[in-house]
Amino acid sequence: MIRFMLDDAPMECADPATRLSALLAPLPGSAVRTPCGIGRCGGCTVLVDGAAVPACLALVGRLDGARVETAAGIARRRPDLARVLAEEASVQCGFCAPGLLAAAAAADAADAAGARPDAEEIAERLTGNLCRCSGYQGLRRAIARIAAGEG
Amino acid sequence: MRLTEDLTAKLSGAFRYLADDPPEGCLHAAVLRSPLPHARIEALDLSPALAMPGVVAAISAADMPAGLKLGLRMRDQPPMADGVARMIGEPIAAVAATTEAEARAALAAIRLTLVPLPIVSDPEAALAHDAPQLHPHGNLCARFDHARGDADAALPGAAHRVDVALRTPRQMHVAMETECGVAFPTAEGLTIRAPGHDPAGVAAAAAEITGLSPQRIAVQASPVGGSFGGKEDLHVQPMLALLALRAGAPVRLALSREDSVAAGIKRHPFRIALSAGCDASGRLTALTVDALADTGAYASHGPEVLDTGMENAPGPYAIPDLRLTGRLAYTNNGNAGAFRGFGAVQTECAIEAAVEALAKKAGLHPVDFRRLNLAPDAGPLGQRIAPRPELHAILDAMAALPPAAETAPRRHVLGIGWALVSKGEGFAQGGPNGGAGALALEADGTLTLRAGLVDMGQSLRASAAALLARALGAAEADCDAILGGNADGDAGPTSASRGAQIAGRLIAAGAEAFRAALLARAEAAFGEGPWRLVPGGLAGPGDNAPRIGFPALAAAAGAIRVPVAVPAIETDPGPVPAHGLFASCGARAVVAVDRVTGAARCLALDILPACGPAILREVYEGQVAGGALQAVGFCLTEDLPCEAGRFAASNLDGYFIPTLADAPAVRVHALDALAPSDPVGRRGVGEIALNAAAPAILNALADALGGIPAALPLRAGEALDLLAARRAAEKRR
Amino acid sequence: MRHVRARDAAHALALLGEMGPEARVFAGGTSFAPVTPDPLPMLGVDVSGADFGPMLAIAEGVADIAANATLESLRRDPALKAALPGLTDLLARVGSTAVRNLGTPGGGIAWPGGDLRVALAPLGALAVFAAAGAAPVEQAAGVRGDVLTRIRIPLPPPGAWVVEKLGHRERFSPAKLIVSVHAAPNGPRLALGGAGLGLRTGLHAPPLLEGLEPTLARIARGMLEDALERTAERNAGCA
Repeated sequence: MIRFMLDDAPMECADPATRLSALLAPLPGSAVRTPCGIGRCGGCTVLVDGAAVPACLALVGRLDGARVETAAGIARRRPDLARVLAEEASVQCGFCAPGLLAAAAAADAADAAGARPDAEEIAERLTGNLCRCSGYQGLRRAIARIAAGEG
Repeated sequence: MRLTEDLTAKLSGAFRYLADDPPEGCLHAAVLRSPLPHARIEALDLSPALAMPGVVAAISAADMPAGLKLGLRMRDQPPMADGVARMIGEPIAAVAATTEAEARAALAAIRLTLVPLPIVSDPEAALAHDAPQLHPHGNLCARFDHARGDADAALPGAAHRVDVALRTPRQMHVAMETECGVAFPTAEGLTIRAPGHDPAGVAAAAAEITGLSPQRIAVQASPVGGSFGGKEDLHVQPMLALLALRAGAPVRLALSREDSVAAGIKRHPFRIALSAGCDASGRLTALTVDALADTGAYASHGPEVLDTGMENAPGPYAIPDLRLTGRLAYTNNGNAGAFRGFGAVQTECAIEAAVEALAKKAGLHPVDFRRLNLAPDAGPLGQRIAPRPELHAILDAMAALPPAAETAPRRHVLGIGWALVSKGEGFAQGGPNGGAGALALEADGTLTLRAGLVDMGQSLRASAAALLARALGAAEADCDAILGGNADGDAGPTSASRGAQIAGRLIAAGAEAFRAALLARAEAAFGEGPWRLVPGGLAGPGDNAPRIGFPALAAAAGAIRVPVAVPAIETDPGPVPAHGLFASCGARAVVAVDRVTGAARCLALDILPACGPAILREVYEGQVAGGALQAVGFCLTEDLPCEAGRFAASNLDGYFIPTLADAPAVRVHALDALAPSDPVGRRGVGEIALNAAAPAILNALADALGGIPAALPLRAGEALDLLAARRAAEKRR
Repeated sequence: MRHVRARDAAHALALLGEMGPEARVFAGGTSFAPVTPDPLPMLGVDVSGADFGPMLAIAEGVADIAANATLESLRRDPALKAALPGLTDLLARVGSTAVRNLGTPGGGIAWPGGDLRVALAPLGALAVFAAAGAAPVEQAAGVRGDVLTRIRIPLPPPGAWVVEKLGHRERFSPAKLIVSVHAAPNGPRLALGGAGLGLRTGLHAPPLLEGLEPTLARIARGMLEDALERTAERNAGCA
């Protein structure tokens, strides 16, 4: 049995060869949706021990003891970040939005040496989150604010 | 209901879409789809599937009314393949089972015998006299013919002439949410929750399929996780409706991306041959356009797409002699239908490429050439339209743009292109251009617009709330919109850029009656008065703050609902379908083409929409930027080729929409002024930026390459050929 | 799928022996993407958390990389960027950040469609297997029954190595073409790869282009010539 923390609640799964998205998406109220299912859109991004990963490619078998966060948990931990992304209208229809918030939370993190990413590096880290609605102009504004220390 | 609240809920996942959180005891559907592009269904036996564990219901065309065909306008499509499958991915059978795995396993048990039929894989070949016929009425789905003067005779006499041959891509919508939904039986009849554009239309179709009256079918079509036209057609609703009734239980289906790619609607590929001539001074004299579009297996919105494409083929220009010939062919190449830009973007690329090339030949700046030829007061087919003096304002603003500051990266050639487009808003003559809804005080005290219009990411909910607040003098926080149902009348489809227009007109038309109803109810409940409506509630004489909050009013006086309807905006009835209301937009694009790889990037876009004042500025600019980036994909990276009826890609590992790194800087220069006499005072901004950006990018590519590419998206080989030809020509000089 | 995590190289080899010839070694698992049945159907030894030594050691002109490091941690590593800036740039064009948080250089070498094998071949990079020892990366694809633990990349002088990936878009795309040119002291070494091309290596461009569709050949030739020119320019500048 694989056991890990999911947004501060314990979670378990018997089959280690299960994809994380297959486990999380059907949960009631889940913030994890899988627009492509093959790791090519970023829509199902979650954090595993702070690193952004596509839930549709991550096998549950390696999560024993890990901390998995979805957008629901991240929004509670980082309301500042969600606010900046919302204020700049970074998303429209919102189907990609939980994955974007997860990726943004990981992107807006200092490295081991304490260096904070600049706007270019944050953008690099968010390039895998496809959005079909927005044209990314609002996201660019949000990235500038995040790099400047807001959020 | 403010925009930021809406978006914050979307980011956290708290915002729920229609197929999220299925009801207790919900069954899962799976669909058996045709693996062949064209086949006769020789045998189909569902009984082995019904005997499988967990299976509750199974359906095929045999369970639908015999011979039933549906369609957005032209009715040529059985809800499930009926004897013949005309495209890969066409549904043949569907099952509902307790789990998804059981439903999938049951599909494998279905006994199906398909006999392959000859494939029609090319629209030109489809129209040959000996082609296999896909429909009883043949392979010509629709035609468009319009002429004034004798353009073919006039062209040879033109001082300058340009011939454009252009193929446009089969672009895929790639909404992040695939086609999905839930249906369940209710005491009244049936409820269908599925993203779409037209809840009343879905209820009418479901009624035909199930035999229930439309009044017994509740449809919820909003919110939508992205559509761009791709969810305008019926998708999972017919199968879910029937399965839910058969099973007597809720049934859910969300397409895999693979099924969505195979079965979903695409943009019509066009093949356009356009010839345009002007006199020595640069005045356009003649234009001929021959367009052939591939609608695939069924009409969907194809005839309207063709009409719109042909109507807009002359652009917003005065051209004395004109011949427009359009044909729409059936093939076995999937199915094309509505897509933001709607036929017009394809032909606008061709006419704008010709205009830019003629300007060069006539020695005029592209903006000046367009100004010389502008026809602000007449429609492209000569129809009466609401005047569009904003075309002049757009050209003035284009001329006043600062020079593009972008520089060419190493190895790249820079190109700059311009475009000016107009596109009909709403449906052409005869389409459902009016709408009905209601203004309401909800039981919790929220003031709402209730309408069957749909929020698909264009933030119609927040925009309608803002408009309602302004019309009533209430606060945005007092207001909301309850959208996407069919309980408050038929608002018509949310398409053709008409969502905000209809919402705004419903609010404007109903606001005073609604205010009066609120105040009358307050007087009846609280006496005193006269009351007046202020942010937060009602104020009495001398009050400078609300004395009765809206929730208190609702608690005391009950909910209020004031129906409201607006009529169609009249256009000229003519021999061909034409619009009376146009939205206009200009664009300038800067591209860079790699001399070694032939790959192109769009570096910057200036977009100049003239759509009246924005309701919410960030929404307006977001619609412009989003449409513009879809144009970047249309021109540079997106295509879904089809070989022998089979698409080249099945998911996003083979179809490439732009990423953040591919997005140019999009600078929005909104022009708010429309004619004082304008019947609406505002245009939808959902489509027009795409229509303008695509031809501007094409023209920028032509500028960089020294010739107009013959196909979009730009092919590397053609880019390198054009660059080589340009180098050779320069060497000769 | 039977999914077993290996502690280290010896454990991984033991598990492979136990599970038989059907077993596959994987780390990121990103190449399973198109395999849809859930749970996955095959036998697998997961080396993502195995101890293959330090992520990166740079000594005596060689960058020595753990095969199961994540591509994203390598992309962000300042020492790697200083030693092999071309590799850092290339990594930004492999998948996305989230995919690179799963993907590993071992996968990029051992998976036949990996970009890294093409990029690193002209540098004389070695793939170190737990049982068979070191082999040129050219020979490291599709090896069964052994475990790739480290990749040793001899460091070229600054400017002597140019790698370019041509995708369908700027980022997050499979390679249409990837070219790698190393201006080695005894002459240039070239490699070419991309969708369905496998790995082609050589000392001159023309043989690498044989059998390519004409447009692709034309582009590949241009990319190789450009890379040769750039490495030559740098060398001239150094001299």
